[in-house]
Amino acid sequence: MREIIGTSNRILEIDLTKKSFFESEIDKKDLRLFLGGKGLGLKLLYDRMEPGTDPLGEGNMIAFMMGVFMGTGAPCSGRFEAVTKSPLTGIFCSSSCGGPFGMALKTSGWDGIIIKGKASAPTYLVIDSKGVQFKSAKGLWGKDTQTAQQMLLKEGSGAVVIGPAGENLVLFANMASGHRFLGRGGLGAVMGSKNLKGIVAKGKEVKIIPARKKSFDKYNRKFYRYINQNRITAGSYRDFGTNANVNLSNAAGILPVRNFTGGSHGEAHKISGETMAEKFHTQYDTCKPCAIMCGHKGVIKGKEMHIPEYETVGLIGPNLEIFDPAIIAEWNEICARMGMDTISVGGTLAWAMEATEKGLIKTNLKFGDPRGVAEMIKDIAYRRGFGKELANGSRAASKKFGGEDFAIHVKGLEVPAYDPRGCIGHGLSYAVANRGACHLSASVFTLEAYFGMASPNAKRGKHTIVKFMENTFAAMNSLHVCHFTAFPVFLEPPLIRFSPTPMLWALTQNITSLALNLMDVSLWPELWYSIVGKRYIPYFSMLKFLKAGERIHVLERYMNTREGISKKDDTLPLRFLTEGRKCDPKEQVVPLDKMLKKYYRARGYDANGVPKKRTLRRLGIEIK
Amino acid sequence: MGRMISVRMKFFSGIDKELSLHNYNPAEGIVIHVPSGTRLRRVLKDLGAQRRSSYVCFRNGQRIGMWTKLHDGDEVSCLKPSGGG
Repeated sequence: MREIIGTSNRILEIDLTKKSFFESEIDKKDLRLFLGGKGLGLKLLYDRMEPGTDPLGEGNMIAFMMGVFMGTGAPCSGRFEAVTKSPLTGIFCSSSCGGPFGMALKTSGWDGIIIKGKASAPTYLVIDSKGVQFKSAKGLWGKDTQTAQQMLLKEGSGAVVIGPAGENLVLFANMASGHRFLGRGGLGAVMGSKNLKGIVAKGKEVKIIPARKKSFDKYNRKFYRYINQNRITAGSYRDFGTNANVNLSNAAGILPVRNFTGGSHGEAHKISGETMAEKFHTQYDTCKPCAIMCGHKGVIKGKEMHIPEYETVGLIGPNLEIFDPAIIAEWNEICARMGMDTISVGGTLAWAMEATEKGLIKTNLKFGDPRGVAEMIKDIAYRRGFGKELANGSRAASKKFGGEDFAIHVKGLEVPAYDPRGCIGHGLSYAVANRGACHLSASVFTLEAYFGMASPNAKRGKHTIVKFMENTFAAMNSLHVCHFTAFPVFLEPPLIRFSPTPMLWALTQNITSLALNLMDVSLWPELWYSIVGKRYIPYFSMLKFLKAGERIHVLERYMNTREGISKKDDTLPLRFLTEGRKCDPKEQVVPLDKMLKKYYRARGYDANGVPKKRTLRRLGIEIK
Repeated sequence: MGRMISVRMKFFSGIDKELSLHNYNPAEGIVIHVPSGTRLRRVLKDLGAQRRSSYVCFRNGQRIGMWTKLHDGDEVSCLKPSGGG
């Protein structure tokens, strides 16, 4: 097997219209400045696409990027990133996914692929180290995501596919790789608009060897040690999966209940990870290579099924006032097979239930009543009946039928399962996240509601926390490595591990910048440098890593301002700004305005939220 | 002895099993009676919680610490840490 030292730096550029492809080389400077994964994907599209491109038109491109960590044996590195222009929001969106496709493509010798154009008929691609074969997807079109993958895996070791929802251009259709998904923003519809059913990579043709193996092994052992001693990655996630968060969010008052009118519910324990583990005899069902093992499967009503993740449980469970885990698992399975983002499905269905209640639309959907929901999910996937209207998301549906004040989205992307009225810094992060309402952009709810390291109701310092976390996660998504490795990387270095929580809270709340500067996230860049073969000075490597993250985040923001995004879009649903939660006697709302002004200043944006020219120059971003 | 107060304790994340609470109902929790002014730390210690310093505890939607004094009618939830999904 051929060996690649570090990275191949090879990208495959595929034109579906012309059925042609060519190889291009990643500029070493771009790799250094944008790290790989999400960062490099954004940079490559920035260099190739013009503003105003129709997301469902031939001019839109999708970049699938593998990241430097993949294939090296680093834990939780089997994730890849896709970047494109989202049809749901109309702006650039990136999404991360586990599953087998990334490893298959990387071990075919490619660090990424860029796809443009539109095939004349349903097509799938077979990729190996030599290039691409364009094949007819006549026998695949119409198949669900799991069946389609099984058929494609006869030709390779990993595939990414769309389901019927992507084929029908549902604006929140996703792509599937194994049982994981490129979930948010409707990337599946972009692939469907190109008549592209799937991509399969042969894989197992090359072996990736870190350039400085001794250094890599040392930091890799430390990474495994941190993951295995962290109470979240080696505790809650392994025992109960991400649904360990149900009871926690419920206790903190941030669980979405009844279209985000409440923050907790007496029956939440019925859909918790603890209950599901016992009821469904769960076992691990994870990405490879995974050291955390948060994914689980179980036997539900006699069938083996993947246990739905927390976001799914939150948005199609209590958000619709449903507390039967078997029903939620069944709906999750429908969404998975049809290929749809469960967060957007849940948010859109909740809007539809409230709109029905208020007489704005006529459906048979009711909060707390599961009847009709499974059928409506399928109607959305096939764009039939009223499902045709809901297939465009809650923003479009509410613009057409009314009820915009209870369509819970930001920039068109439905809000995930953390009510920001119980963690106002997270509210700021929803408002300013580049792709729309995103819980992964800064994940501030962890510090505020879960870890007790920041006051959930205090404005002070939140703009600094959001900026720091955004920079860190933008860099982390460019390595590329699982988001959950942030818990051991942040929490296991001795200074944080052995400091009492009240002391960390006092520091973070009162001297935020100092507190964040004490965070040691050097493990990630140390591994990156040892894989690509560069020498570095510790601590300065961390500063460069965080600056790269800032560069990546600001580039994405700049690309979106060129699409028309500005301060008017950095807002929250009216419900979060003017109504309290039913569980909160103080009726706390998100005081967005003051936090937003400070955030723009901290970021180097002007008063309208556009990155200033001097900010772009400082970060080395070419001004167009 | 001071006035006795009633506090409802709810345990999740498998803590109920670690405390050997038989026939435990997570919806109801358990009601304990302690002297007024008792701190959460004492309650957990008396219940036999070994790794209580790692617990995440809430009272009425607000995060509390081990040294928090409990009041009559409080409902306290104790869980192990998690990180989002």
